[in-house]
Amino acid sequence: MHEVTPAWALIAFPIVLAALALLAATFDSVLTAVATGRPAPLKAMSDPLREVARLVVQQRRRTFMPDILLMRIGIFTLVVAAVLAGVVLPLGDRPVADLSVGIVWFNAMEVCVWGSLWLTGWGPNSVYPLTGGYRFLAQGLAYELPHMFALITAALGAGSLRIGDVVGAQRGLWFAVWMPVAFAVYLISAVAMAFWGPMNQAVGSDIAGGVRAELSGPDRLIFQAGRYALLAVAAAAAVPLFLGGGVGPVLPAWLWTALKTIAVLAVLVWAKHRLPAIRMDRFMEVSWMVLIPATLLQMLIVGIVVL
Amino acid sequence: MTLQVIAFWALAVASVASGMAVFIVDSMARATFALLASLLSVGLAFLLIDLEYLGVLVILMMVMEMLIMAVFMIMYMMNPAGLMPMKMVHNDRAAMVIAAGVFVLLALGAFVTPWPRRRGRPPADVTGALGLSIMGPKMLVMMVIGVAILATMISTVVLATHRGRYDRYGDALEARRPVDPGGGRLAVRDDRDRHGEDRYGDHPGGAQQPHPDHGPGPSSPGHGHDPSHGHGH
Amino acid sequence: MGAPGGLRMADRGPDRDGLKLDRLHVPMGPVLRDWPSGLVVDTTLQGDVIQQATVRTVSGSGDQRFWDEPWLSAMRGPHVTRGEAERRRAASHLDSLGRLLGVAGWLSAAAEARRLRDRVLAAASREEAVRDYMRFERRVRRSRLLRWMLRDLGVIEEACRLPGPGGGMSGDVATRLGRWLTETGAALTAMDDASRLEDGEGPRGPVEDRPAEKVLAVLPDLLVGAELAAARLIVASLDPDLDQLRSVHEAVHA
Repeated sequence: MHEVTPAWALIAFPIVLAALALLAATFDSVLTAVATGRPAPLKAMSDPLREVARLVVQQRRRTFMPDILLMRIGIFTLVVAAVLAGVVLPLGDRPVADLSVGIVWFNAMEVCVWGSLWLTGWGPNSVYPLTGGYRFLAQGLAYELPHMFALITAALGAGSLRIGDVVGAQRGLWFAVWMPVAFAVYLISAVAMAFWGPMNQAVGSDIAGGVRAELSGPDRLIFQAGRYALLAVAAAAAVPLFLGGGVGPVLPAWLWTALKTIAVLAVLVWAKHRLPAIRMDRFMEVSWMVLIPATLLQMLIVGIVVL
Repeated sequence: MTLQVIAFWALAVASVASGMAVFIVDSMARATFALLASLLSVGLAFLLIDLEYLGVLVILMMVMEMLIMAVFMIMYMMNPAGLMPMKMVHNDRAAMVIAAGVFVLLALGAFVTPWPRRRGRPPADVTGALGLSIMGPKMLVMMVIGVAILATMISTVVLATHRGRYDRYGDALEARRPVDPGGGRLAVRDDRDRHGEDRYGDHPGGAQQPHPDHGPGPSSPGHGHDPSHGHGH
Repeated sequence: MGAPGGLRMADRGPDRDGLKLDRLHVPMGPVLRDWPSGLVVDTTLQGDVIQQATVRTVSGSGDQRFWDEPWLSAMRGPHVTRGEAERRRAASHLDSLGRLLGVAGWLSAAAEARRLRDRVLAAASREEAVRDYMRFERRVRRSRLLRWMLRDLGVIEEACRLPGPGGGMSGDVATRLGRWLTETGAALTAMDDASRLEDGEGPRGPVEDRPAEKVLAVLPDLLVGAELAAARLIVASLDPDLDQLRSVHEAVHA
């Protein structure tokens, strides 16, 4: 790390992340209110904050013979992984931590979510969370390889694993434009990594909430916060990787980054309400037989262009 | 420099300690994740010598690898949360002797090896240098290893599964959609035999086949089945 | 090894890949979201694959049969118009659709189905109901993703046809969803029919035959070998009306 991270970035980053997570939760509850036909759906905007207040004071339920230690490790890892994955993403010009292997770092932190969900599912000693836990592992195996190839394609286009360089390489043309397959696969895997609808079978309502079925009180609050933070980070990563980062006319870089991130986030939240759940017993085959070859082909094309 | 030294020793102690914890804890899940913690400490130690790419890659791969092990763990032990305390060591004495022996051998190796002196300085872009090395002078080795690993994985899967594409798409691969288990099916008896799915026949609760013409109607179907499964919890 | 905490431990058994794996005994129901309330399926699971299943019901049903009421009442003698019965039929199918779409994880479509159901029950006019229903039907039918997720699940072969809407249930979950959609549309258009109701063909088949009994009798066979998610969808696609079962009192006198 050659340049020292300014102190303001250290303070601004968690605030921005929390704001984005809250924004996603707010938009989601408004869309839910619209779908269920609640009168005055905009009133649902305060639902996330109400839920926070409720969970803070709610008494914890306990299951029979749980492994609390592993469960708590799982819950905290979710938040920590989301935050650590976010530190390599540029807020404006520069990220909090400008790692030379930022893309691999992002990937590694996001894989830590596998462990997080598995532990959270295993801990309560209950069937539905356990089922949710291994559903997510199946999902991980399905989305991870196309996801990695999509990330590597962006790195290949820039000739660097540093996210700042990837942004720099898009001054002429967004990667989303000339690597559409990689961008599309990234969006699918962003939804999958944040176990967000339609890829939300790990916390599916058909298994009573899956991984989070037995979570209550502050445990549930931290888990939910981590999930929305992860969704926000997954959406935010699309901006420097494929949508030109902070590059744009007139407005400053940080504002462009924010606007693009919010746009991607809105698309992901909206998709949840438009699509039925995707089960991995069906998706796995498509992922490996269609998406992996497609991303490899995309990578080959990008490789030839770069050469 | 001193900070680096402190970090190194902290990671070294964490790595060995969580490695030992693998054999002390009494739950398979805890053992798995203690091992993961140990491996992650090793990955972080790579970052101390500026091998960022390798360090992060170790973290990435180890998390994925240990979690795939966790899948197998559930297959063989479905009681979550370590309900059944398990001993993580077998054949204690011999294991102890072998472990101590291997440790001494490796430690000795570390001390007696004539390590080469550093010549020159590490390159500015370690990751790039690593890539050039893999794709340059070491290309043959890496290619052979890569293909060998891939071939091993594919052949293991082929050997382990008894369903191939002819089972899924028919003998002439003529089916448009594959036939997969896991969907649930209601068929008359001989059809099920033809698909070789009669493995539930010896269980009391399963396979009570309906007659094609009329459903079997015990007067109170809700209570008509095997009573031994009446009360799960 | 004993039973820690007094719980029954998982035992082992052969699985579909020829391995010997742990199995866990798990009751599904009687209370689950979008689940026929009162139904309990005692399952033996390996991973999330159901190896054995038995069905029982928690009593409390059998006296009030809300969805079959117009037909039962017409049989007893009072004058019931066909339109009234069709209104109930449409609402019943919309109720089932809401449950199936809910289990399929399409919460907004499920919510739409339920809103339509409530409005149909609350005497919405025919034109209005048909118009809104058409939009809903188009939306559900157009979803290729939904069809991809539901097809080849819970296949009932023609020879095993169960009683159900529009002449019986067969095919896969997607087929049954399509049948409900068609039947709902037909029922909504016939909502103003003032002629006298004379047949006993209720939303789930002939009301006198108590179709739910037949469905529950074969449910274990359908569920064995299915994964948990598939099992939920299969149950939702059959949507047995547990009110149709004979109550303990009735069974004694039968």
